[in-house]
Amino acid sequence: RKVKKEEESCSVFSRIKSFCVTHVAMADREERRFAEVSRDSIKLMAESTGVDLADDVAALLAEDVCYRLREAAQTSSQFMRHAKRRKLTVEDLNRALRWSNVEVNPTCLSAVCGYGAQDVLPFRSVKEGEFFFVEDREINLIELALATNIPKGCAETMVRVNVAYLDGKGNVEPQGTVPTAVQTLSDDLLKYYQQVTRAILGEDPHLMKMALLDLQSNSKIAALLPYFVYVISGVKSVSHDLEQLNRLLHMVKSLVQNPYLYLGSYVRSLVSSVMYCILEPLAASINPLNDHWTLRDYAALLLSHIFWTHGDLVSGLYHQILLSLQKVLSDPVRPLCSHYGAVVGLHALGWK
Amino acid sequence: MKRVRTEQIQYAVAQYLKRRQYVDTDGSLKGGKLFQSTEELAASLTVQTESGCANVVSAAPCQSDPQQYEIQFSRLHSFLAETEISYAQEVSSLLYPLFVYLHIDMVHCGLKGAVDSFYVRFHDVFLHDGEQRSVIEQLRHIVSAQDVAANPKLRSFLEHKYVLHLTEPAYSYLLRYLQSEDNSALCRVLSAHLQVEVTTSRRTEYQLYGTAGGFMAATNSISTSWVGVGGAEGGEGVEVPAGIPQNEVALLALQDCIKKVREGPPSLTTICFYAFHHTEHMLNTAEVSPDSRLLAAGFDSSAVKLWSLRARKLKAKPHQADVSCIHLACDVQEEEVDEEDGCGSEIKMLRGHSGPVYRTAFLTDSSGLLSCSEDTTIRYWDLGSFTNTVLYQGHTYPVWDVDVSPCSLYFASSSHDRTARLWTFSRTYPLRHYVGHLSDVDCVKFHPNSNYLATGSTDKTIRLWSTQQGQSVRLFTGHRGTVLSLAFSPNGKYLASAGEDQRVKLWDLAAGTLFKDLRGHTDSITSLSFSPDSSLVVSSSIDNSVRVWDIRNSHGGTPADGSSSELVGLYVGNTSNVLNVQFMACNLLLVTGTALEKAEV
Repeated sequence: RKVKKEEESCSVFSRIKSFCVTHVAMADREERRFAEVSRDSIKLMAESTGVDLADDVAALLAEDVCYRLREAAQTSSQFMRHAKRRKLTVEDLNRALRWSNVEVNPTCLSAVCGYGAQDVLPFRSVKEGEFFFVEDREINLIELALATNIPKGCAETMVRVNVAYLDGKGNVEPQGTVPTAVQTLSDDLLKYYQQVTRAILGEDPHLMKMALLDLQSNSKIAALLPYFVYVISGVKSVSHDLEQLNRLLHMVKSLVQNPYLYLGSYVRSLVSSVMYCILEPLAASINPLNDHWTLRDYAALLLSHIFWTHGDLVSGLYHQILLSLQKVLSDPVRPLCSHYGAVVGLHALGWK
Repeated sequence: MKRVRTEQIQYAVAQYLKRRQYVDTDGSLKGGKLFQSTEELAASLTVQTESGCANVVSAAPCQSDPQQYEIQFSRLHSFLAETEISYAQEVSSLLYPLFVYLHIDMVHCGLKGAVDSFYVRFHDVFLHDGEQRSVIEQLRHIVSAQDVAANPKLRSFLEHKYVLHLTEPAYSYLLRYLQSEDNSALCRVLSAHLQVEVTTSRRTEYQLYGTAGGFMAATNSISTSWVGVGGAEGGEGVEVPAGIPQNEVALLALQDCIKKVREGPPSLTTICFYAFHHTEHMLNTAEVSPDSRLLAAGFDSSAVKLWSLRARKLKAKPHQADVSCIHLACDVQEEEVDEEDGCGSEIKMLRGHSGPVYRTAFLTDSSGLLSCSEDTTIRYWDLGSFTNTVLYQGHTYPVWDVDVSPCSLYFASSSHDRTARLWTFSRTYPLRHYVGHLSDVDCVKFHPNSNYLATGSTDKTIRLWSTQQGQSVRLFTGHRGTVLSLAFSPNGKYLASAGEDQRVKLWDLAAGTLFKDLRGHTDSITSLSFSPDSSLVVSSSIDNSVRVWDIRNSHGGTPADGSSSELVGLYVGNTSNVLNVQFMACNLLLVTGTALEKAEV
């Protein structure tokens, strides 16, 4: 008899499942009282399968059914949550039931309690019996088969990238525009820019060291990146002063080594400044006393460092660098220092 | 032979000059030497240095007329005061030591009257600087040579030479002045007591905003085009004469600037949004690898897809076993497989799971990928060959989350079975079980020092566990809904948690209390991330927004929609769902989400 009762409860349960709606409200968030299935409903459902239940049995069954419904709702909402959806699907419920070991019993076909549909199923009510049912509409298969409108197949999942900018105040700039950050720099940032640039290009080594160290570790200077890159691109105008060139290269190194800064498309500009130091016959190199060879060595090492850490940011950077180095090397008209620079640059980039 | 060569060279040069029609070619070269022996070179160099300007000055006649001191000094003083040349200011630093030495000299000579008048006339010039003033005060009391000897400061003035720094143009300017008139007294003091360090001329100075700042006016300035900003203030206005104090002032100014910027608001953030199209609601998770080369996504169809974010395509290295394929007897086409791998592809499909994949996690060096799924297993994918090489079994219920420890030594997983488990890569069974939650554990995260693990659960609590011991060390309550996402700050001080109750809560780990409670989202929050310097927290949610919060300071007033004042940025994209946010650098944010489909139900 016990076994029979279990079978009965299973079949009754499956009946209840077939009444489940596809859109279930989040039981654990909104309600404070638990929904209950009344004893009469249990008796009604039992009658429809031809089973006659006593009152206490119906009460026990009601409690059990409520508990299992709640458990199913809870577990299926977990699946929904981790799939980051707001709509509970039949698949969620199927899985929940599967994990509650409901499918153990092979006699009741409860493994699949329904198939999902995109449209909402309309329920029609019947006043006499006070219950709802889903209408079974007739479908004309022939019409469907010969219909000319072919439903869209599902395409392959693909990814597209959008880039947007948030300025310091949190406003999103429209896509496609380069951030016009000049007007929005705060006074502190401006002063910082002036002081740091002066310190680096000035005379006091202590100040310079402090400024370079800060450039390497400050996390809030991203807005000043265009400014610093501008200063560095002024290499071309100081080609007679080795000391300044050296300092500008130090600046590049600090910026590149800053773990908090994302360089983005400024990598190109930095690389071109460094390449200038490597390859160009500098005005300072006219005087044989000036040691521009060490400068070129340093610049070559720096180039290799930039490339191996940030080279992926800009497409085709590798080829561009290689091409320009190669061009200089193969050009016999170029002076010795340019050739030296090209050789040292290639050497520093490594054998790959 | 040498002579012949010399003659040949001379002849060639003469011819060339004739060709170029230079006059007097013959005469000029007859006596001209084209080479000099080293002795001759040395001799000419010495002559040059000896007869240079500096030596003229120092070789001035030694007798000095004390009466002249005052006259010469006053002449110099008024000259420097009236002139408009920029070097004047540098040269005026000479006045102080001159004054002191002249005064001492006069005292030595015993000219009391002259001394007094000299002192009275000029002493107030030097009262600005504290150090100078103290010396001047002491001078007032000196009446005889013994007093000078008794005073240690003045004695040191006499025993050592006073060092003065001047740039080259300023120095030559001074010398020219000294030579122009009879300044014998000054010259004597200069040569006897002062040492002038001549520095090379100032380098070209970058002009930052188009106006010359303070004392940095250099000869060749480069004007810039940043017109919009007003001129640089001549902040370094008051000239402090050469010496240590100036550098300290500059040092302090620099330090102050740095401090202000570091404590200031965060700067421009670039947001890179990866939108997935045509997912048919099957996308559960998406993550970008730490080196930004790969994007991994887990689907309901139990597949994990990898996209290459760089120009290089993904090429699989040769591998032995591939559990995703079953070779049937009739599969003889091995050439096809090689071809496909040869050219690589942009997308790689990783198959192995038998249930929806809920989470993917990259190793810190991006060499491998872990994925966890509803089929209770965790799989490790080798990213060289793009195959599943290890299967970790231990959970008995769907695994919701997996996280890799900072040095990739361990990883942890959390599951529906109300436990979190610790694994190592070399064992397929778990090492530790963390039991204590009352309901299933939805998320797990390692602390940056790998000693602690945080788990968030459906029972609305967060527990902090000791990784090695396995016991719960903290319990954080306060959330009103399931906790879906956790993040530790890189400096290890804070834990951020968020979930269904739409609030982001920050917990102070040292104190074990709630630090901040951030309002603003209108739907459950899916992901949290800290910026590398631990000053920003970003949260994403199903309400299609990404919010950036500054946890160090609150800026400005409360935004209109009632969010907490820590909000510094709000990004709403064209999405139906935002899955994941990651900070790559302080100014780069990567966001992944499902794009809004055109025909949305």
